[in-house]
Amino acid sequence: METTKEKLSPHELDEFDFEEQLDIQETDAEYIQETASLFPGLLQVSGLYTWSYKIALKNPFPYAKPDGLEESEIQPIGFWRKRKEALRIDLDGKYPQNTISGTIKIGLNLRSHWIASVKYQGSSKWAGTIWYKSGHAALLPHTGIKMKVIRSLYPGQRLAIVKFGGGGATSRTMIYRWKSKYFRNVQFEFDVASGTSAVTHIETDAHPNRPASLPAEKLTIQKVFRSTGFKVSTTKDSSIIPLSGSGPNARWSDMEMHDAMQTYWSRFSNRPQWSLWTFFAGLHEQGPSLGGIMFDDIGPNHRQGTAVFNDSFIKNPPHSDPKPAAWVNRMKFWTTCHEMGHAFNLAHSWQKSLVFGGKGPWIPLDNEPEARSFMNYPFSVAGGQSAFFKDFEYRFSDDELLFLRHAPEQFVQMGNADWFDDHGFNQANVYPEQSFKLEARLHRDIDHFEFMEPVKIELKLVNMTGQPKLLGISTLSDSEHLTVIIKGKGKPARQWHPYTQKCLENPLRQLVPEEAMYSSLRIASGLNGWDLAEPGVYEVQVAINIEGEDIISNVLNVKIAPPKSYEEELVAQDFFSEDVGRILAFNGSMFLEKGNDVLRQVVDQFGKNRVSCHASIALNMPLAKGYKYLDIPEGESLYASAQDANASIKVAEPKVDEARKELMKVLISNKNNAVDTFGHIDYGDQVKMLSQFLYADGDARSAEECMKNAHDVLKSRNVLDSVLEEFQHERRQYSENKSGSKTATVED
Amino acid sequence: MGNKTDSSQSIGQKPVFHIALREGFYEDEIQVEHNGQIVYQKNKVTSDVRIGLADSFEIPQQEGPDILYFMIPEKGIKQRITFQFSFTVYMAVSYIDDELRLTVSDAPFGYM
Repeated sequence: METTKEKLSPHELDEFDFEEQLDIQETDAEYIQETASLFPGLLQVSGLYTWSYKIALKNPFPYAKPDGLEESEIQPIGFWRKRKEALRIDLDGKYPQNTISGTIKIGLNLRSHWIASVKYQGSSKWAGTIWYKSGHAALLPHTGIKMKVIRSLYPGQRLAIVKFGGGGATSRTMIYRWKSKYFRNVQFEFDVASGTSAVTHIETDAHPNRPASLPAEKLTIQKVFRSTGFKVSTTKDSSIIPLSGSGPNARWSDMEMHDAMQTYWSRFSNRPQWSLWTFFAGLHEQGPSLGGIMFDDIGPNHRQGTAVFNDSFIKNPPHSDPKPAAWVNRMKFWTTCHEMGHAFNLAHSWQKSLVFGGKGPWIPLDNEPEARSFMNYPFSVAGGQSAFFKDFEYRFSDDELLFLRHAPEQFVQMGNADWFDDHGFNQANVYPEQSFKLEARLHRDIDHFEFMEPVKIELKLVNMTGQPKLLGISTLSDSEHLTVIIKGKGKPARQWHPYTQKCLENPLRQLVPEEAMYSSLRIASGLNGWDLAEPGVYEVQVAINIEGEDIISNVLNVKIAPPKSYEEELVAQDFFSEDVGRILAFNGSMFLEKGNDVLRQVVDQFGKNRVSCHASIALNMPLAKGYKYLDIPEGESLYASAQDANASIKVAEPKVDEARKELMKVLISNKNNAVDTFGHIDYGDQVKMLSQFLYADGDARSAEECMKNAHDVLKSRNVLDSVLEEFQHERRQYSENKSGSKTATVED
Repeated sequence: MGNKTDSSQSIGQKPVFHIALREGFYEDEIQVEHNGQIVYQKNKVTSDVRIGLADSFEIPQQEGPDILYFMIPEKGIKQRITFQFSFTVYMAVSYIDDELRLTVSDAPFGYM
C-alpha cells in the first residue's frame, strides 16, 4: 500500500493525482470488501484521522553573527507554525450520520472547522458538500470533498485520502492517518452523597416494556457515551460527600453542589476540559419535583457538574408497573444520562429551535418533541412514559449525535463557552519549561484608565534559556504571531485585531540569557471596534508563538473608569467610532475629517483629561511635516480612476509652529502626565519624533531640550540605563549640531 | 428567576391549583388573577432552560367555578381560563409562538 505520500509537503500534495491514487487502490479495495465480512469491527472506517505539518516561516533577512559568539553558540530563531488537521469520519459503526468533519489549526490563533454530508460512491469512496464552516474561512475555501479510505487490519496503514475542491479555489488533496475509532476523549467522575447510591448501569432486559430489537446486555453510562463517539475513562477515586456539605436541611442547592464539586471532584479546574462530575444526592432544595439538574451555571466555566436526585419523583414507579424496581433503576439511569447530556451542551428535545436570551442552536434545528432520546422527557411524549420506553434504544437523536461528534469543540466541551471565552489559551501549545517569559504590564501612577483614554499595554519578553537567542526585532510588534485576548467581566472574550498587518523587515537581534525585549500595543480599538471602551474591569492576556512554542503572558487587569460628566457621555458616542480609532492608531490623519472634528471637540472640552493628550498628538503630528495626499481637481468624478480624473499626489505644507506649540505642551510641559498615559515606550517614541521635527525646522536647541526632558522623566521612573543612553546619545547629537540648518529634511 | 416552591407541599388538605410557569419566559412581568384577586405578580420571570421551569406557586380552589387570568402586560397577553375541579390540579403554562399554552394534569410534573 502507498503510505509514503503523507510525507509530502502541502505544495506537493496539491500536485498529487487523487484519481490515480484511487485507481492504484482498487485491488486493495476489492480485497478489503472480501475480508470485511470476516473482520467487520477491524475494518470500520469511522473514527478520528489526523495530519500535521510544520510550516517554516524562516526569517528572510540576513543577520550578522553577534560579536564574541561562536556560530554554535547561537540559536537563530526562524518562526514556524504547526499546521494540524483532524478529520472525523462518521460513516459506519453505531448510528452513522454520513458526515465528515474537520478541524484545521495553524499555530495558536488560526483555526477553521468544517462539516460535510457525504454519499457513498462505491469502492470505499465518498463525495459530498461542505455545509458548515466556522473560524478562518481562508484556511478552507473549498465547498466540496471527495474521499477514499484505505482500510487495513493494521491501524498504522489506515488512511483517508481527501480531495477538497470547488469554491473557486485550487483543489487540495490531503492524506490523513487513522488515529482512533473515537472522535473525542472524555473523563467522568461519579460521586455520591452519604446515604445515596449511584446507578451507573442497568440490564437492558430488566424491564419488559422495551423495544423488541433491543439487545439484552449490561449497559453502562460509559458505553452509552462510547456509542456517541467518545473515548470514555472514569476516575476511580469516587468520593462519598458528607451530608453536612448540603446544609442543615439535607437538600442541595446549586451553590452547595458547586462547592462540593470544587471540594471533592479530583479533577476540578475552572477551565474548559473534557471532564465531567456527576453527583448523586437525595433531594434538591426545590423538592421532589426535580429529578436532576446540570447545576453548574455558576462561575466562569459552566457545564462541568450535574446531579441526580434519587429521592425525587424518579423513585416513584407508575401504579401497577409490572417491574417497579427495574422501572426506578432505569429512570435513574436515564436521568443520569440526560443530565450528562446537558453538560455536553445538549438542550431538551422540544427546545432545539429555541432562541433564548440571545442564545440559540448552533445550526437551525427542528424541535423533536416525540424523539426517543435521552434529552426528551419520557412522560411528555404522546402516550406518556410507557410509549417512550417501548421505543427507546438508549441513544441520543441523530441531530444530537451530529452535534456531539461534529460541532466545533468549544460548543461541546465542558467548561467552554464562546470561542476563546475566559480561558482563551486553553489549547495553547505550552511547554512545562518555557523558553521565554512574556509579561503584559502597565506603567502608570494610577491603576485605572480614564473614560475615553485609549488603553495601551506594554510587553516584555525575557529569554529564560541559558543560551543566547536570536529574535527578530519586530517579534513583539508582529501581529501575525501575537494573539491578544480581551475579556470584560461577564462578557465573552474578544480577540484584538489590529487595523493593519505589518510586513516588517525583521532583522535579528541577540537576546542573551535573562535579557528582555519590549514593545507597546495600542489595544483599545481595532477591526473588531472598540474592545476596551465601556467602563468596567477587563482581563487582557497575550500569547506569542516562537518556534512552535506558545508563550503565554500573565493575565493583566485593566480598569476603565466611568465618565465624569454627562458631556463626556455625549461626546463618547462620537468618539468610539472607527474613524477616531484609526486616527489614534495611525497617529493622525488629514483625510478622516469627521474623526478629527471629534478629537478637536475632545481637546476643547476635556483639556484636563488624559484623552486630550492622545487627541492632541493625533491632530498635530500630521501638521509637523509635509503630508502627502491625493489631489483630485475640482469637477472631476470621484469615481473615476486617479489617472482619468487627472489626480496627482501633492504635499500639504507643514504647519510646524502650530504643531510644535501643541506637541511641546503635551509632551514636555505635561511630561509626567504624558508618560503615564502613553507608557514609557510610546512616550519616548513621540518625543523622538518631535525632536526630529524641531531639528529639521532648524531648532536643534529645542530638539536637545526635548531629549533632555524625556531622559529625565524616564530616569525618574527607573527606565533601563540602556534606554536612557539612547536619549543621551541623541541629545548629544543635537547639541553638537546646534547650527542644524533649515535644509535638513524629515524622512517620511 | 422567581422562587420555586416544593410541589409536594399543599395548602392543608383542600384541593389546590399548582401552577407552573414553564417555558418561553424571558424577563417577563407576569400577573395571575384568581376570582378577581391578584394572586401572583412578579417582574423578570425567566425560564430556566436547564429544567424547563421558570416559577411555580399554589392557590387554593374555591367553591364553584374558578376563573383564572394570566397576564403578560408588555406582550399584550391576557388569557382567561375557567375550571371547576374538586381535586388538586397541576397546571403548566408556557409561552410559545406568541401565545400561552396550558397543560393540565392530575399528577405533579417532574423536571430534569
